[in-house]
Amino acid sequence: MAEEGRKWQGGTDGTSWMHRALIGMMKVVPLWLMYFFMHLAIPVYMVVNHKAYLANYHYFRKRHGYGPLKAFFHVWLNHVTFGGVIIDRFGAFAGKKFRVEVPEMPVYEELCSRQEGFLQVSSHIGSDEMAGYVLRAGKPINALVFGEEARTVTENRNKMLGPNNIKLIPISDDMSHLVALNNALADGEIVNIHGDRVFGSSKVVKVMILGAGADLPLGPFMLASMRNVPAIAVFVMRNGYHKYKALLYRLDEGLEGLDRNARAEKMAQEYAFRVDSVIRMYPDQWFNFYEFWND
Amino acid sequence: MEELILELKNRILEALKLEDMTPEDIDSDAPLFKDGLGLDSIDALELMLLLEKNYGIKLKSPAEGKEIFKSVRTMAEYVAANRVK
Repeated sequence: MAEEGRKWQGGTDGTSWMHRALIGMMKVVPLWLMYFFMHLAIPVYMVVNHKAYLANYHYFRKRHGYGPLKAFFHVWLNHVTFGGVIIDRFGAFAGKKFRVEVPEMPVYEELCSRQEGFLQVSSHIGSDEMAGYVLRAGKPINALVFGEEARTVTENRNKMLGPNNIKLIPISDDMSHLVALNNALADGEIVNIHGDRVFGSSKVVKVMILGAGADLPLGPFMLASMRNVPAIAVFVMRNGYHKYKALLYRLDEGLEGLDRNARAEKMAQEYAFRVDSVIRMYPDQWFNFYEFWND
Repeated sequence: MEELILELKNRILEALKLEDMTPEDIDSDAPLFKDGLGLDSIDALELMLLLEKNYGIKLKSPAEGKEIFKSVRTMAEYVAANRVK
């Protein structure tokens, strides 16, 4: 497999003026109309962005064992769902409201009530952005974001998420993001990092997801282990028109007596188990559009 | 300063579990990351924790990390100027 196919560029497509135009348009155009236009654009996108299409096709063929036609249909469905998530993101920037169900809210509130901070591990599954609008912590959330993300997206995220006490920390070459994350946890704040992308350090944890081997970054789990703070996995799944459901899972249970490295490894394995179970429930909401698995 | 540099080298070797190295193997002025000692971002977190636990130092601003962790000597200079224990 070409190494290039296993890299993620980490940005939202389109230029700044396109994003601004989209946000402006969404203030007046109903979401259903945006979804309609998006459906028309999906086949074009599947052809133009062939690498993403192939990675997704392989995901359905190899990981879910679908036949060629079924896999093709689900690639289309996956793109439609992803398009919906992106439209909803810009809709949120434009002030649209969404209903997000959080069955495990008491777990989250209990963690937030503690003096210590905690690690929130999100994923490129469903819409982690929606978590920012619904999980009001009462303490700052420091979300690590990819530096390549489009400026308009970052600006609007800051504008929309700022009132919810969310600070965006871009990954940088000068390790300033590491200092910011470390300080945040030391100050009893929340840190949010994607657990399904290897970046910065080359140290990885070997895991099995959907029956095949993959690499997860050790960094996020090591951060929680080093600072000895709780860790949870957060998945916000799209459940229909204007509807999302947030799934929360503790990652730090059963760690007593383990050393620092073993704790990080166990949290990563627990996270992989949760990723596995969530994408079995929501196969069409896997949004890692590159060859994620090691085979 | 040389004493502090030696102390830091020993602490770095211990924290990063670089068991096959000695303090003499670390050039005090060589870069800690990439070309020098070849440390990565997880090691950077270890160094931050090392400063916090042993010297009571929490880096004040995210931007200063790069300068402090340039080499063992720059680390030692920062520790000498900012330690609270």
